[in-house]
Amino acid sequence: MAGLEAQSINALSLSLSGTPGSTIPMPAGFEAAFAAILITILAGGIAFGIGLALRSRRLSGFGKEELLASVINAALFGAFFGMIALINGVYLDYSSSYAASGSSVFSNCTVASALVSNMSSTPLAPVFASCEYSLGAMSLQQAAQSLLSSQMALGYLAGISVNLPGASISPFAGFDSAASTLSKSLDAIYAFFAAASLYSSALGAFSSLAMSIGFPAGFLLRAFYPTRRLGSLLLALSFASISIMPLCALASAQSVDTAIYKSGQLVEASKSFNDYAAPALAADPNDTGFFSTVRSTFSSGQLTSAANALASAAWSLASYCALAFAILPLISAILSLAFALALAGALDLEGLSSVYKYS
Amino acid sequence: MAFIYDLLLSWSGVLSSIAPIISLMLITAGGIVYGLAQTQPSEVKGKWQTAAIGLVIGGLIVGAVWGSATAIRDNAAKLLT
Repeated sequence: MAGLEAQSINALSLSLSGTPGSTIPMPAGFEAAFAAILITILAGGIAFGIGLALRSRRLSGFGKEELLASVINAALFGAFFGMIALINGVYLDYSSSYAASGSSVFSNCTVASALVSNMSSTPLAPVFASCEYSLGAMSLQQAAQSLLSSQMALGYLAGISVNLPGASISPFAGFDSAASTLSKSLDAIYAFFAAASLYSSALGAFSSLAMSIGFPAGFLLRAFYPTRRLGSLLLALSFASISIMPLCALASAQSVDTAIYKSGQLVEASKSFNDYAAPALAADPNDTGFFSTVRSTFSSGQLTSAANALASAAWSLASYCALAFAILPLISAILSLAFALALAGALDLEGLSSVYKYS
Repeated sequence: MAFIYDLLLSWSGVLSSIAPIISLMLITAGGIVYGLAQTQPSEVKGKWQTAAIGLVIGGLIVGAVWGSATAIRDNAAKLLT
């Protein structure tokens, strides 16, 4: 029986490949689900036959329904590979249309997902989506590091006071408001960095869990009558995590790209500010030339402009991150959950029981 | 997962073994009941014959499903592809 089963699985793998000579092996763990379908066909057939023989409408109805459910389960099992190919096709079409646009997300993450394109039955969109948010998180981390150094410089400059005979001057005291803006922006950017990292990890983890546990266990549990509802829910959640969530991330790649661009602008603004502030920062307060250094830095006005530009860039990035790394992922998660619940209801096939009404 | 796969293979092995036995038993029982029906008075003979035909058809269905279970599954798997 085991030999026959292996031959059957190989035959299915061959037929699913589509092209002669190149086989798509069935992913690990799926053999058990395929074997479970055979069990339910046999059990359904036996129940149907015995029900007819004993003139038990209840037993024959149950057997008929189990046979039909097994056929549907087998069809879903076969369609699983087609669905992954379909999602990969959508992803490849979309990414190829943006590949030449010079987008950093598409140029970096298309390469990342191309590395796994040779692995059969692997959904590519989650790989891209995870890479997309990982890139976003990295850019936010760089921006936060630059911003932190500028914030420290700004704080130091704001506290500088020059003691003159009869007076004490704080030339950069006006930087307090910019420092406050930078502080708020930095907190927000750290929070969005955490959100982007978490979402990137979640996309990768959900996809891996779906392929390694969700789908095999879902098909297995869906094969049997008592666990059909749980299996349907697992299948629906797994399908949502490899389709809706990453495709939503793919659709929001432009906003992540813009966030990365704004992070770059912030890093540049921070560098510019640090360059202008460098003479004042390097000057020794106990040195006799300190006052003239501070005065020349202040009187040029460039440092003030750079500080204002930095505060503006930081606030702009923090505001935009709310869209790219909080609102869009939240919408994506809600859509995925709603889709999963709707699909679970559809896969549950409650209507099938009402058709037969054998009980 | 290998343990579950082996367990399921053994279950399908058991079902594949008992299905033809059940089929033969039902068909044989159907034949016996049909034969006994001939010895019954005419007012109950019809009931006995109906029961016999039910047993034979049930046995045939069990046998047919047993013989084509793998083909049903493999072809159903290609329905939507």
